[in-house]
Amino acid sequence: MIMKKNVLIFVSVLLLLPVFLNAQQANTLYYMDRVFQSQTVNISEIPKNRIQVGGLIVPLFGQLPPAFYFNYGNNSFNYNHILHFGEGEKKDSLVLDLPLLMKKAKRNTCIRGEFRIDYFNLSIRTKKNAVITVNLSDRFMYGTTIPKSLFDFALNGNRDYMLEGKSHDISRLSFGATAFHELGIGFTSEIREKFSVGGRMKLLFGMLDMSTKIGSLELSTDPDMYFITASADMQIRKSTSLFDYDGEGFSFEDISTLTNDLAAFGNVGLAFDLGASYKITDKLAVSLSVTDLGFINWLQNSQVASAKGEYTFEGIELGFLPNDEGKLSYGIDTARYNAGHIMDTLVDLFDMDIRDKSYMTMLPSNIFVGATYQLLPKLGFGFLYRGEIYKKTYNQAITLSVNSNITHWLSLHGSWSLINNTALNFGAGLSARLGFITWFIVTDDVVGLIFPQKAKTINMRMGCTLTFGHEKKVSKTATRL
Amino acid sequence: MRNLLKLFVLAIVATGFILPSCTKDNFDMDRLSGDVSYEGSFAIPLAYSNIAFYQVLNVMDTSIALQDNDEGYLSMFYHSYVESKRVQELLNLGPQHYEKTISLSDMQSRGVYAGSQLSYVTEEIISFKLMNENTENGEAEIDSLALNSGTLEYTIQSTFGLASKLVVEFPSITKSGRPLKDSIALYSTDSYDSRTLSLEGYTIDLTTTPRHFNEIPVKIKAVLDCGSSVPTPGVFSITLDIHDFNYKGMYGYFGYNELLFQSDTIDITMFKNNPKYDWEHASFYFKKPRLTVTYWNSYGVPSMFYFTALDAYMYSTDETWNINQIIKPNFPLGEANPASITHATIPGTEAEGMITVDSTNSYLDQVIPNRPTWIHFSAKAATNPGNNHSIRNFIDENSRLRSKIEVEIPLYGHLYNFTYRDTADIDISSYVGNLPVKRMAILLNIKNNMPVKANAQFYFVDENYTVLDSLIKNPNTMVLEAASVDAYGHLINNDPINTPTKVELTREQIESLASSKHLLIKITTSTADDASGGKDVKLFREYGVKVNVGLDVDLDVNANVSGN
Repeated sequence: MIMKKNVLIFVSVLLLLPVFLNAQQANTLYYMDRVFQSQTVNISEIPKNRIQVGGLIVPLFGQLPPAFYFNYGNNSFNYNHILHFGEGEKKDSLVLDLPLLMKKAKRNTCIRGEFRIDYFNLSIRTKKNAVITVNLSDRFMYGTTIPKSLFDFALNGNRDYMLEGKSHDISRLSFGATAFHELGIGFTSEIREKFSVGGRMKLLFGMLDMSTKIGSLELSTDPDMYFITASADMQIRKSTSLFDYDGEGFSFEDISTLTNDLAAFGNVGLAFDLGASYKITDKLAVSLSVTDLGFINWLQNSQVASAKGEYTFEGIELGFLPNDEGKLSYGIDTARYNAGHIMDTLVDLFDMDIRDKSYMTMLPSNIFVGATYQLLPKLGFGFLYRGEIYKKTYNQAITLSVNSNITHWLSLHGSWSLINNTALNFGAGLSARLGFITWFIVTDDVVGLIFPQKAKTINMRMGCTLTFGHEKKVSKTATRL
Repeated sequence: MRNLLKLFVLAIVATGFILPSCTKDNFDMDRLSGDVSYEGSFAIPLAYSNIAFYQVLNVMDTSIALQDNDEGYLSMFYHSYVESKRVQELLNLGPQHYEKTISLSDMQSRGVYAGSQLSYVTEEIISFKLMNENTENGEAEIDSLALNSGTLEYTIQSTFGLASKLVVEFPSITKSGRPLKDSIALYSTDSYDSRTLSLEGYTIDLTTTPRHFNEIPVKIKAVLDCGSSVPTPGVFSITLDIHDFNYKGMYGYFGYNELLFQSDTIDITMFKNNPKYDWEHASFYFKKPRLTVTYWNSYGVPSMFYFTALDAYMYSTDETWNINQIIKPNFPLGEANPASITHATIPGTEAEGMITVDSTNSYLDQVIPNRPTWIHFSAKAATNPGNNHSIRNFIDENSRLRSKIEVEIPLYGHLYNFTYRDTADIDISSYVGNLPVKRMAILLNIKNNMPVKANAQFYFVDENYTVLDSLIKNPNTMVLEAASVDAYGHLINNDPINTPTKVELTREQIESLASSKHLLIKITTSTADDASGGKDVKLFREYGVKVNVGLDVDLDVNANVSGN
């Protein structure tokens, strides 16, 4: 049972923990022109309907289904790269495959995620194709980057590096978990014929944050004493009431104190979405979009732990300690090394300077470059390039899509993407309008939803909006203007 | 197009039913095989420890008290405490009794008539009976007493059959400057009465009489109301009792009092027969051993201390040395050759002093190399050894003579070939069997700033103590190299001596240890520049070693680690 528990924890840390993951990875959504949520990835998109209202606070329709979005992405490995069914006698058993994990790990393993709940969405389009949008959302974003060097250190060991006099460079290691409220007000306008631009200003209120800022971090092993030295220039930052450092040690509050964080409005940030679309010909259109270009300044319950220099780990300290009878006995100061004090020990080890101070984090930003070609009145094709910038890493994806507004109430979308270093991403999207209700669901990888154990990308967005003033005839798909 | 739409909806519905059953097995942890296949080579620091030499000694022998001595280095102390009786038991003020009879003729001959009353006054002296019954050279001579408590009880019995009155006054028993005075009145029908008075807070001056000590004057006044007739013959019978003394302080000369006369045995546990210690094959010499009597005396009285017996059992020769084999002429032996004890000069304080037995007055430095396992002593202390009555002193209610008799063995000298052996029960079969190790090396690195060196060996043995393997292949390998010392026993260089030891173990060796049941530990130590007659070293509190243990291991995990 312990083994199973440990494996579960191990796999969770590597895979499942980032259930709430990543910056907008909504490539199929990008060309769902009947779904005004596509504006979240391209603000220059002009909705087809005059007025659309959605979100959880819309009675009944806001919850059928609830307007949410989640995304998980891992550019290196999937669940089956860690645990998979064995062969022969083990064909019905799950096998922990560390060599495969090591083989699959990229130079930098980027795990990203996001969970988003939309409480309120509003889009109003004027007769002159000027669009005003308002949204109120909560977003939980997670991202971690694990350099292969760290996997190498943990799985293959440090001996070879030690003998070669090399160090493990894990400077790209990063971790970030952020939750914030978002109030966005956008404006999109067709400023010239065939050319529209849009922008959204988003006021952000940070709820909680835990993140790293690592300038450099290298691990080296002394061949004479086996001491492990970390050369570090790094910060570990937090803004949450869940735990605190008081100069003596860490104190942890009950999980219920998270409600204080969720109601926090003292960590203010600002972000922008910008976009432009241009229709080159009747059949060919191009677009450019940048999302989540912004920051949050963390002030509430914020602490920054800094370490700069070289820190050497010599092992666990043993010594003479007074026992219950007051006599000396030799052993480990268990109080120092128990789980409750492990963070204190790390602070001691890295001689960290911990201060109450504010800090700033940038949001993971995306850039989208797209093009569509309308082959038939009801059939168009799209190309999309997406790049994500987050803490020294740049992740890219390419999507090819086929989009069809097949009837005046139904549109279907299919996509193939090269995401997270895998080409087996087949996405699908559907929107259906029944009267004034538009329902939609979209994912970039249907297979990932069905076989999550084999997926590097799992995402889904769905929602229901009230739609008024929709177009009377079937529009051409994905020509944008 | 309609067909396409139907197909799409059908596909979505189908996946909703089919897919969960396909995937859930992948997340069913009950299917986890526990098989792990994995290789890795690690060189990691396991543990480190800063070990002070004094801590090791304290753990080896918990009865040793290790302290910095006067010269700054460490000494081992074995001690015993002796203490005098409490002063109230030693100088006990017993009950004092006085009685007086006054007849009619006494009153008529020396009394005074005033109207119908006949008054008679007499001044008496109560002789203070002593007290410390152990006094051999005459009574103590008390000058004054300050009382915490005490009781004065006096009675009068009259046979005159007339109204009368008795007044007693103690001019030298005062409280806040006022003398103690009291009276009893008898009616004509009364023939007896008594009074009890508390003496709490009173002081008694016993020097107001011509003798100047041990006497309390009392003035007694008897009044008889005769009326108009001539009184018939009769007597007043008067008794005075002072008892239940509890004094706060006392001044005077207290005579000879035996403060303590005790014997005890000090165990030198280090030399006791302990299978872990091999002194037989070791040679050693501790310089400057001594026996000290440290005392704290709150008596304000000159006193003396002397031994009446001193013996030591030598484990090495299995014989007991008596006092005549141990002491030299200046040794404080017997009443004829005592050591004087300083005394307190202010009540409520105590004087501290020390009597030392060392190589100047004993052969203690020759006793220690013979590994005494115990030293027995008998000691005595007494007040006023010179019986000089002119020396007036004090005692207070808490006066006491406390003393600690201590054998001090300074860690100054040399040691050669002392071996420490220990056995640890181990059963590593369950670990070794599953140990996913292809090769393992243990790195032991010791930084030593002590003038002590050591080699060590660890034997793995089975239940019959048959040696299966040893950890260190070369038994002469020093795990601890000694730092060099100068002629005074001090370190020449404070830089620690670094001694790395690497123990390689193959998979086969590790597996061969599976039947090990015990680990025999053998550590042999010597001081720097050893050999008998070697250079003497001093061991200071800050001396110690820093031990780092590292592990260089090639893991070859190809096993089921589920424990199933």
